[in-house]
Amino acid sequence: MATKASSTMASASSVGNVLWHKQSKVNAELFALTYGAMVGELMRDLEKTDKIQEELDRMGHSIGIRCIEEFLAKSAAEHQGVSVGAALKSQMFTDTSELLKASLKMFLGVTAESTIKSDTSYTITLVDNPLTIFVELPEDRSELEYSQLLCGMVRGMLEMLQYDVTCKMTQSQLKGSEVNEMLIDLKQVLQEGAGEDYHDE
Amino acid sequence: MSSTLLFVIVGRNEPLYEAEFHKRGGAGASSDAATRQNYFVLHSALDLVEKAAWATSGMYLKVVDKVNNQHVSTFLTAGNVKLLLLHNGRSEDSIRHFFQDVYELYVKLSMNPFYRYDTPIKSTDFDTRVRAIARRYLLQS
Repeated sequence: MATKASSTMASASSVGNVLWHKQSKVNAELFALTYGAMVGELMRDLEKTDKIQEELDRMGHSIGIRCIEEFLAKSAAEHQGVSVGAALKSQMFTDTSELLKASLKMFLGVTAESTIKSDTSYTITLVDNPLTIFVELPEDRSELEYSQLLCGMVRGMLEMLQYDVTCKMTQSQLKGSEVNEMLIDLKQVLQEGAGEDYHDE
Repeated sequence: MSSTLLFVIVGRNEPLYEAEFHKRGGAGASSDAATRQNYFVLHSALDLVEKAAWATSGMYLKVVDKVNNQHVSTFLTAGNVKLLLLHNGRSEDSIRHFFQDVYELYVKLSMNPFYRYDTPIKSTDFDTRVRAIARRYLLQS
């Protein structure tokens, strides 16, 4: 079982590649401009940088909880029954980095690298960010984390896998770094079953 | 003084961007009077730009005005933003390349969701790149 799981791990990135090629695509410029227009609207509505980031994170979260289902379903179909997700259930938290890299490849077409920092945290590094192709942060908004939506997405995806994490951008090309980097920290492993709202009194 | 080139981007109501380019080794910043005269020449050429725009269907309007020894060349963008260059008889080719490169830069800038159309251009990145383009095409000795 262990060997089967590790071979599944090794091909997680190739799974990502195959799924990316099968997906129907949208024009990258249109995508970036749409995201930019949305951030612009948020700026006009909310004005405060931290509120905007919260909202982006919330949006990302609802995208993430839906994306993970699609990713697991498609990767199961690809892998003839042995789903990447199923193999991960019994593995360590740090193996979710492979799953994240594959899904980032599938949905955004970006190739990501991961660095394991400890048993409960790792970083994902992206060299290109399709959201920011035309963007330059204005001086009065230099605090804004433009790609916060990606962090929310990661948080949503891992939540569906029963991991409660915090995800934040530690390096951003818009702020002068070489690469974009997200730090994912495990807060706790969620118990299986329905949330608190559904428990009987 | 004549080794100074003045480049202005004019929107609908006001200048959006201004830059002066000096020939390497030439005089430093030109005197106040010269600068003011340059601006005056450029702005008075704006009417002639409108006239010339109807004469051709392209965006590059070449020289629209000649005052003393100074020429005003213009490039009119699709969004009705005017790129004006005050010079003293550079070759048409180098000016056209200059305008085309700056136009590409301007298009990329306008794709930035944080830049609103027809507002002053404050980006230092834009400024650096425009100066590099000017160095490449206009200041070859």
